[in-house]
Amino acid sequence: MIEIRDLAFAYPAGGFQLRIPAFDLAEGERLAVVGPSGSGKTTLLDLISGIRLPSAGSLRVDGEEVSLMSDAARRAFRLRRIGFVFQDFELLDYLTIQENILYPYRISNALKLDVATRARARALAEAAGIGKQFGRHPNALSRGERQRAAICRSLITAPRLVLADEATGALDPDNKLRVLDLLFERVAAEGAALLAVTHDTELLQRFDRVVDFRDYRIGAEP
Amino acid sequence: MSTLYLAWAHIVWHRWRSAVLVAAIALVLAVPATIERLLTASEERLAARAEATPLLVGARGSRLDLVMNALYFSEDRPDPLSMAEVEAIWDSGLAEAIPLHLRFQAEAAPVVGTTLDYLSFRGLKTGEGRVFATLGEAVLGAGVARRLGLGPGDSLTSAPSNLFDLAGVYPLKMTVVGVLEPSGTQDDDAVFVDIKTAWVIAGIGHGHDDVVAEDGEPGAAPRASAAIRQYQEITPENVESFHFHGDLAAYPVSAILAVPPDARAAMILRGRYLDAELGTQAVVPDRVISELLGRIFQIKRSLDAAVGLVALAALVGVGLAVFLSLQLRQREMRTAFRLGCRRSMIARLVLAEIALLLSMAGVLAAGIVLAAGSLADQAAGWLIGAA
Amino acid sequence: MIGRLCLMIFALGLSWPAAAADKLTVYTVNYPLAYFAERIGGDAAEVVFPAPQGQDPAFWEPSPEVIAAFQQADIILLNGAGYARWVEKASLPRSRTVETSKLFADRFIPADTVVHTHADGSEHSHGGFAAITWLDFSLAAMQAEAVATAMIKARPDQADAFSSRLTELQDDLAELDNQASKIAYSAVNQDIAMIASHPVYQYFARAYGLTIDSLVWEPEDTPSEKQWIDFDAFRAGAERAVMLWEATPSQAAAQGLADRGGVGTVFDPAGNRGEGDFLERMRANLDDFAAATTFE
Repeated sequence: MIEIRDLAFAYPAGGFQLRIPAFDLAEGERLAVVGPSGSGKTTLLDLISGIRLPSAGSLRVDGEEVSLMSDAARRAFRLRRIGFVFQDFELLDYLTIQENILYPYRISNALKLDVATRARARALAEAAGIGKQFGRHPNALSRGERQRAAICRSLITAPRLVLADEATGALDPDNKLRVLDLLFERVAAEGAALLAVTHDTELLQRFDRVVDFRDYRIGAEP
Repeated sequence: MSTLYLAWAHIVWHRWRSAVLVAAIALVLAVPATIERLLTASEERLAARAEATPLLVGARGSRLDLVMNALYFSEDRPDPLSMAEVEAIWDSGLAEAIPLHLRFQAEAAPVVGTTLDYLSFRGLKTGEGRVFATLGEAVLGAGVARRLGLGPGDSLTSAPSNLFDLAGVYPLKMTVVGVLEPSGTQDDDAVFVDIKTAWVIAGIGHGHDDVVAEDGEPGAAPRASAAIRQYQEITPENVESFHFHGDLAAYPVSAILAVPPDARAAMILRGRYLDAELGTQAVVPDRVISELLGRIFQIKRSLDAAVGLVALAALVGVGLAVFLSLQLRQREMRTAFRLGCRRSMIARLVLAEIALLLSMAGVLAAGIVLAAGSLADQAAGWLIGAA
Repeated sequence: MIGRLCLMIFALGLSWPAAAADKLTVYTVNYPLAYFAERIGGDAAEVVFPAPQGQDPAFWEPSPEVIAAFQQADIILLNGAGYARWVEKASLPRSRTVETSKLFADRFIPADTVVHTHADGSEHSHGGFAAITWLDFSLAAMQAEAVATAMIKARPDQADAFSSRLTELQDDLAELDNQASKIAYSAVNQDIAMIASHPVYQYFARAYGLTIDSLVWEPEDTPSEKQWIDFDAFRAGAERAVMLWEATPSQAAAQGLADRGGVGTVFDPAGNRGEGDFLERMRANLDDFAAATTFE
């Protein structure tokens, strides 16, 4: 799913640099990336999703060389192939849960919103245990429910890869486990791979593999 | 991409903020448009009537008061002149002279004492009933008739011009004999009577219970009964006892509409009133009203400048709202970008939202202007009346 | 052929109302003015004098409907001098109203007046004028001229026709004037007391140098003793007395007059329509008056 070879990245302003000689993620694999803040974990996610481009080396995602794509192609690639789960959910409070889940379809012409997609949104919500909150706005939901909704959103486009950036960081211990369970369960159900950035060490044993990012860091993240 | 959908969702979510914005923008748009409309309507009405009135003769004094009173039945009270002046104009052969007596009101409508020539001159025709034929009969403008729900056969009573005017101004109960077709002018809001009826209201002409009608035995002056009462209603039974003292030529007239057959006669007639020693003057209403409109136009220009400033302030306000909105939605912008949309999307969302808000404000403003427009005629009348 | 002729006649018939509509509509307050208007206007005028026969138009009160008809007229002819009191209270369009005596308003003869007192104690009089102006035939000619002037103003294209017909009428009136002058001249030189049954002959008397005292008698009534005393007072011992009746007197009145050696003659002011036209009636008046004032 992800294949990185001799990758180098540096912020234009200088200072922080990242070098990754080799990094792989298999199809359907659940990988946790750990490391202290500033070790370049988030930069890695940005590189994988094509938000940032490497200065050297090769980065292939789902078989495609990300740096060779055009801007528009990268956006479409991100939208279709990658799902995102953020630490602070990043739901829009002016949209209902339904519309938040369908949000990727609202923001791009690359995806067509049809009846099947709507049905899929509902099915995802039901599976995530927030079917009753489908028509509500995020401010009426608990934090755990919100992150469930965010997970549904990340999966609505049936991505091949889900990137989770501290997905459980803003949750209490109980919710952490349940949300992680849900994430694992849904990702497995969709047959997607999961790359989760976390510094929550208690959760690590549940991943297939753990990569300590300290090894790649050179300099300080800005 | 559902820019409008998302923009609309955002508007609905912030519905109170949106409503306030829409209302504010609508007002900024509607107020100057409405003022413009009202002023234009007033100007048109003022100008149309002034142009339709070739010459006005009145007592020397404020020309504006004379024109406002005689043309628009305002409550300005120019000094009266005498009926003799009317006869003098007729006798000169230079113009038709139409007397106007404007002093009284009936049910808040001006009572216009005049002759039938006024109705012909203004092209006023009765839609119902007939024109006044004798003392005590009144013809109503269409607006007055509608407002009071009166028609031929009904009656209405004049109001004393002044509560303290006890010296002879008795309310007169007048019989409505006709209603004029609507003309879209001040005539719609007036009550028309023969000028002699106006004199009866003024207490100059009056009736007696039973005057000894015999023309007199030789050598003996006929006597009149001492029992005299002031009538408040003129009926076929008592109309005969109504009479006017002295020479009608001395009776008061508020203004005279002079209608010369041609420009030459108008020039000669105006020439006759140039002498400042005379107590009378002839004015061309069109000129007086043009001066007035010139002044109104100047005021309007200052008003326009003020409105421009307000509009500018509103524009700055809207700009600020856009800027703040973009600031507040930085996070949404970042998320959307990460998910795979263009960076410009939020800007487009905000623009779509502004477009929607402006459209709604535009519709609301148009509604306000239209609503005000339907009242424009009335309001214009009011503006003229208050001028 | 005959069919076509009929069609033509029918078409002419149809066009007739159109021509009639173009006629001047003239309303008058008395018969003399109606007569003048008919003479001057000819076919061009539709003259209406709406007072019913047998009533004195000077005191007749028209209904609002009749006033409305007056208001619609092209020309409204008033006598002036206060004739027909209803005019003062009616609304007539000044632009189409002609006061035919206006040019000689300075020559009106004041009439006896009615005085009354107001509640506030002030007295005032209803000053008025004698109004039977047309019995001075020179004044009648001026009134005729006022009629013609109004018609010419309303129909300038027919000015010539109106003017020539006015001239004819004025010639007739001048003849009456002449005749009246002659009769009066011979009467004046005799000791005759002239007494009128009503004060209607003021202009006639002044124009032709006569002195006519006026009673207020209704010709159809039988005069009382008191009224005969008034009569005798006016006669004041004159050798002869001539009574001018405005209408045929009652038998009793005629007999009473004869008993006193007086001579009666009917002098019809012709305010309303009667038998014969204005001219014929005035000629008959003058002939009778001449006979009554001629003594062997």
